[in-house]
Amino acid sequence: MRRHDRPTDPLAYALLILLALAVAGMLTADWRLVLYPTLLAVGVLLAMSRPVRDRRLAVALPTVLTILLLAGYGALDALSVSDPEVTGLVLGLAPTTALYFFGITPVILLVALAYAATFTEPEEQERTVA
Amino acid sequence: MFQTNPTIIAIVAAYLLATVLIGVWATRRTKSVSDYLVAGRNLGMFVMSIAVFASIQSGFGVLGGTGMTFSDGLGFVTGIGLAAVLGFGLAWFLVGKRMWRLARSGEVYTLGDVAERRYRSPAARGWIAIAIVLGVIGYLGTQVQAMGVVMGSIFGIDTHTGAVIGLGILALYAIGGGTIAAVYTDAFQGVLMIVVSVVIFVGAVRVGGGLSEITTTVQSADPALGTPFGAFPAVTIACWILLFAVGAAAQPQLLTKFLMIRSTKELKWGAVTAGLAYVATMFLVVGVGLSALALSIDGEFPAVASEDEALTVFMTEYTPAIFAGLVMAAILSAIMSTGDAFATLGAASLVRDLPRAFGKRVRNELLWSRVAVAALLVASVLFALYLDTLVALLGVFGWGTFAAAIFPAIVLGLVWSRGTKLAAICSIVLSLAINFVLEIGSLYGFTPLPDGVINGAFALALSTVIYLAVSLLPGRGGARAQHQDAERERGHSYAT
Repeated sequence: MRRHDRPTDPLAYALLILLALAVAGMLTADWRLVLYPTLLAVGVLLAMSRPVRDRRLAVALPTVLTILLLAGYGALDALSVSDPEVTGLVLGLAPTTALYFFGITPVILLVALAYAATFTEPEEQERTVA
Repeated sequence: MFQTNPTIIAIVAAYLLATVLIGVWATRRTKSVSDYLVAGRNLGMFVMSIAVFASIQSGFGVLGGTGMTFSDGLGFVTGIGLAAVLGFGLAWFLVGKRMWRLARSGEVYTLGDVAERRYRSPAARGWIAIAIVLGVIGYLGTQVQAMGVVMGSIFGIDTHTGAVIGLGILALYAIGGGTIAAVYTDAFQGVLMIVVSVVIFVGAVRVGGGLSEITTTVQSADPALGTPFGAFPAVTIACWILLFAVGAAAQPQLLTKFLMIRSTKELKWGAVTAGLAYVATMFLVVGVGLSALALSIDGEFPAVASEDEALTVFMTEYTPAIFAGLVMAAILSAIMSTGDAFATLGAASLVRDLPRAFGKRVRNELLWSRVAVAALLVASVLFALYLDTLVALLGVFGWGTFAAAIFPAIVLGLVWSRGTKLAAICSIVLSLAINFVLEIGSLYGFTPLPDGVINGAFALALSTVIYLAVSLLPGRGGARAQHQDAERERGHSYAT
């Protein structure tokens, strides 16, 4: 079995459950029930993608990126919940905003960078597939 | 409305002339349907990725985004802008190479072509085409509205006249040059947007007294305005993140660019380039939006009839005319680059996909595509005037329609081989029904979802759930039977 022939059904089931949870979150206006399943769904989708399934360290990339996203938004959630009106400024921004721009945004860009880092040219047979 | 300024008019006129000249050049290069719809499949990384960014960054993103930041803080940037950047990465991972492979497998010019190849189903092609045409009209409508606001501001004319003149210029190059005109003007417009955004961010923050002063001022009015979610409900932000991260990967103006590149190596740095470009334009939204908000709180910002005017008023009141002119050109760039991409996409659906879904072929696709572009531009003006609501709200309408209809059937369908034809059609039809019932219903007071929930996000999540569930069903509609039949029929799968 080639690596990209690994069954994706478990991931499809996971995606189904996560998006069903997000729907439930929208129906109940529970933002955490929308946000966290969405972040996990991003990880699942990355895991379903062929560049990830083709690599030896297939699980590591989406796992690390998802953990980083969850950690960033989790920290934002915790900081906002513990003190919704956090005082003081970080680089001229509210602390939670600084966390978003300097903590979460780089992770978002990291997903695109990960694509470039794991990019491989297709084999000749694949180039000419008809 | 503010007084017209000769410097601003000269800069914008030079910009418009440049786009028309690119259009003339592109029209001369356009010899075939392949040229008109997929730019002759000859794009390099930079032009392709900047064109992706420019067509995604619309009037909604620049004008609407600055307006929403001006009124409610940073929620637009964190929930929509940066989430869309995540969507670029997802799109490249999920379908970049697959779309390129499909493009090389024959005459694959549209998402309808992709749908028919994937599912061996003209019906799937037809439904995708319907979704695209409906979304295109909605999206073009928002661009027309935004163009009216900007042209009116620049030339001191009413918004309807401004919209018609701007659209006329867009028509000049879009009708003749098709996708070649669209991508090369997009590249020019995209570079302009990037440079101007970064420069104006620095100037706008200075006008507001520095970042610390701006943050302190906005927090004095409402502490939430300084936070990443702003004054928006948290559930709205969460919905936006879903809709714009996952949904970005399903925007047809992005996906079809994968059909246009000359080789796979052009993919490597595309997501990074498009992502960084998009982030750069978020500087404009943050800088001007927050600075204008702080000035407004201090009572130093003129009253505006609509939050969408915040950007144009800020530039003309607080920056030198040359910068204001460049920003006006950049805003027009955002609007026109999205508009031309959609006009061509819609035309392809009308002329190529819908007839083929019924087993018919249009003889002279190039000619009729040009006619269809003209017809769509006229229709979009009527749509914009009929649904005269905020640019930002209509922008979400178009985006949500595409996301919910295209993500499951095309994007997920290409990465998951068990997705079935029945599931694809069910998800497209239901996504259209959900989107239109909720969006049109909301205009008449029908709002079944809780406050703050975004209709498009709900439609996207539900249509994807439907696609997965129907595909996993046992029996005729389910994956086992259809997948095995299809594999036997075609020898290999386009979805692996």
